[in-house]
Amino acid sequence: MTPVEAAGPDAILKIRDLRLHFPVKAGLLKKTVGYVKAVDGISFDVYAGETVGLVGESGSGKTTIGRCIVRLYKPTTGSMHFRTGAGLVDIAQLDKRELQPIRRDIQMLFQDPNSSLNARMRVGDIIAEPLEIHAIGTADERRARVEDLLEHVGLGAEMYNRYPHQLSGGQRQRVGVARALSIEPRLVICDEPVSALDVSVQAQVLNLLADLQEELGLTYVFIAHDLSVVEYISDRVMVMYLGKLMETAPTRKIFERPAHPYTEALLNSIPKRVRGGHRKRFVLTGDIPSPVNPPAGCVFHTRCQYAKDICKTETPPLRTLPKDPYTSVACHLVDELSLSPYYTAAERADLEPDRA
Amino acid sequence: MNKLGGSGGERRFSFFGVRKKNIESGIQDEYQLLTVRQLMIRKFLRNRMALLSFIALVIIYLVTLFAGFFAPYTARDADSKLTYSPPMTIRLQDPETGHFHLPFFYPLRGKRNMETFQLEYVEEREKRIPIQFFVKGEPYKALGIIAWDVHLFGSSDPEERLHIMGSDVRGRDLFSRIIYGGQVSLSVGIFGVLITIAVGSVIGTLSGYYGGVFDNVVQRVIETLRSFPQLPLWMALAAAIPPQWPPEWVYAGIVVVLAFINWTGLSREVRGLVLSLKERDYVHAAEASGASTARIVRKHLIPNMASHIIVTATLAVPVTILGESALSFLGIGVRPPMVSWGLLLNDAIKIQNIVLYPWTLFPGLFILVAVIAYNFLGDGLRDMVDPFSR
Ligand SMILES: Nc1ncnc2c1ncn2[C@@H]1O[C@H](COP(=O)(O)OP(=O)(O)OP(=O)(O)O)[C@@H](O)[C@H]1O
Ligand code: SF4
Ligand SMILES: [Mg+2]
Repeated sequence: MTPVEAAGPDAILKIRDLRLHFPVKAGLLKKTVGYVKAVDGISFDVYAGETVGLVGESGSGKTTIGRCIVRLYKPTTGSMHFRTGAGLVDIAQLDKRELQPIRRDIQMLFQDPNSSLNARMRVGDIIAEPLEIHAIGTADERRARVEDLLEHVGLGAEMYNRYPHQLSGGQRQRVGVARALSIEPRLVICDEPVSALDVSVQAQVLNLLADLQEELGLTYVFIAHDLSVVEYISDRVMVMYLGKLMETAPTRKIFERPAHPYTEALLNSIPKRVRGGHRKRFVLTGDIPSPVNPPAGCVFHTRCQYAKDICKTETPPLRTLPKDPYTSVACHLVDELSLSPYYTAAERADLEPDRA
Repeated sequence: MNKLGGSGGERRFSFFGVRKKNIESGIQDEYQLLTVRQLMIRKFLRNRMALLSFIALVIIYLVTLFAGFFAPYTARDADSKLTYSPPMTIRLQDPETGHFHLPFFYPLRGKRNMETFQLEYVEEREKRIPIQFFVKGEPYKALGIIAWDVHLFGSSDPEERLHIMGSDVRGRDLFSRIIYGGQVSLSVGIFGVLITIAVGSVIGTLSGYYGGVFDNVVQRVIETLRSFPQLPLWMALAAAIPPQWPPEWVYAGIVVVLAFINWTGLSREVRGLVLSLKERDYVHAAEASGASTARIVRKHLIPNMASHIIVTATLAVPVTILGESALSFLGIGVRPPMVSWGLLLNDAIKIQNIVLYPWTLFPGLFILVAVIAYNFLGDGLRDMVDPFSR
């Protein structure tokens, strides 16, 4: 039994050909002159209990995907089937009222706790808000639950009456975690939850997220703009560029055998922590092109050092590798290229003997 | 096993520092000890001028609220013997003997100057009239309901009137009229701004939150209204108030006319605030949890906009007060028998009056003080808007 088959029935979210095109308006009459193709035909599954990392440069559309899943945005086209008690439900086009029960199951953890917590509300009221919205429990029960949650995220019940400005950055993000978890969601979209924090507290918050996942059986979609954070928390990684998926693979495989030139470039941008020979490094240069007019063919061809003529005209589809069913890559040259890994299997074994 | 390629159970990230689940309460300084409200009050108290202005305004409003008590006479109490009386001097010392007394004044006697034919007033030094506190005088209704006749101060002799700021063409006490006039002038500011807040914030919130056609139409209307110079527009609107209306209606009409332009400024400000606030992550978090629009407006937008609205409103009060004064001064504002500061100033509309009876400018001084105090107050409140900056 392969893991993919085993996981099949477990998928709690199946996204197919998701697109979100923001209209660009200009002129006095606000005519639509084009579209920002923030998410442009993306398909993937999320399995119950796993953590999927979603990685890409700034502007690649990660947040937009997250906001589609929690339905802050309505996708332009595509489907998002979410597993509920009544089976798979396509939440892509549901209206506000139909979404209400599903919102209990999907929550979002935001990047910057300074802007995701209302400065005029007390910590306790912030965490209790989702419970209040869904009218769960009496006021006393909600209070007890919030105090319990505060303990759980390592803050202590006496924080209930504090205001956000009275907390440190790490503590604020713990409040954010408590709020996201207060209505017991099954799926949590974590949008760069540690990138606004001090380096010294990033690990604490990541550990907290991992603990809570284990304890509550949560599923995470974990967004990050660099692979190093994702390495520790994700089971699988999806690499995206300009609104499209470039590669999806198990985390270890991404680091040991990247199959897409963009993945290789992202790996090369991480400072290397293990010794290793000098090798030709492919580093990203230039800016990500405008998502209003993405390059034809392979969207990455303007910055790809391996690009050939076919790359400029034909769009490579995301294909599962025949020799590796857990990996999908969108590159014409996937079989020809031999890309440099972040570390070899040997280096990895060296680094973490217990994992080998 | 549903984890793909994952490393399974043991995942401890200890690359930075020690793993620590319970962190200490982490309060670093007193700033963190204060609640949001306490921070705001602290900021306001730090601005001395604003505090002073606030106190001054409270006093002025109290005095006009209890006008009957603080004013020695009513606004219509005329005395044909003392027309255009200059301000009388309140004395403590007898200028001849040098003896000290409780406060008193000398009554004025009019004498026609046979060269200029002007009525000239001289003090009658023989008659020392003590000033009495809590003196019985003209009956009035305190707060418009309680009949009473005690005044804070006044002449002890009902036959000899005291005009500390002089009198007008019909011998009415200017000081009393200024206090009564303040009732109109200052309340026009408050009511005008209440309408401004109500209309401005509702329209501003709607156009900011929903945008679209409604917003487009509203913005064009506001641009059109604002492209007119303010005073002429006020004048045109005020002139449209039917002359046969009773004074109370005219008063209400003037309030509406003044609010008619002010709401545009507030509505723009609120719209801008809503546009920026609705993109804050805490609003997104509420939306993602399924909060209704009403809840978002109530719990997230209003608490974060309230202080901005209060500041803008405070700064709009003096504009309204000036507007009322200007209209009344020009004779198209409130109408007699109502009194307002602008209407009183109308006595000084002729240059020769200013030369002969300079005390007719006193109402202007009150307008000035009120306007300046409101501006300082607004400034102080502006500091409070962002209580988190130090
Ligand atoms: N509401 C919006 N209206 C129009 N364009 C948008 C909107 N939100 C995002 N975009 C555009 O869509 C593209 C993807 O944005 P998105 O925020 O999803 O990127 P991201 O991968 O999360 O980047 P970052 O790492 O900076 O958070 C960007 O080009 C952005 O400018
Ligand atoms: S398809 Fe071509 S341009 Fe695109 S990543 Fe592969 S080699 Fe580079
Ligand atoms: Mg983002």
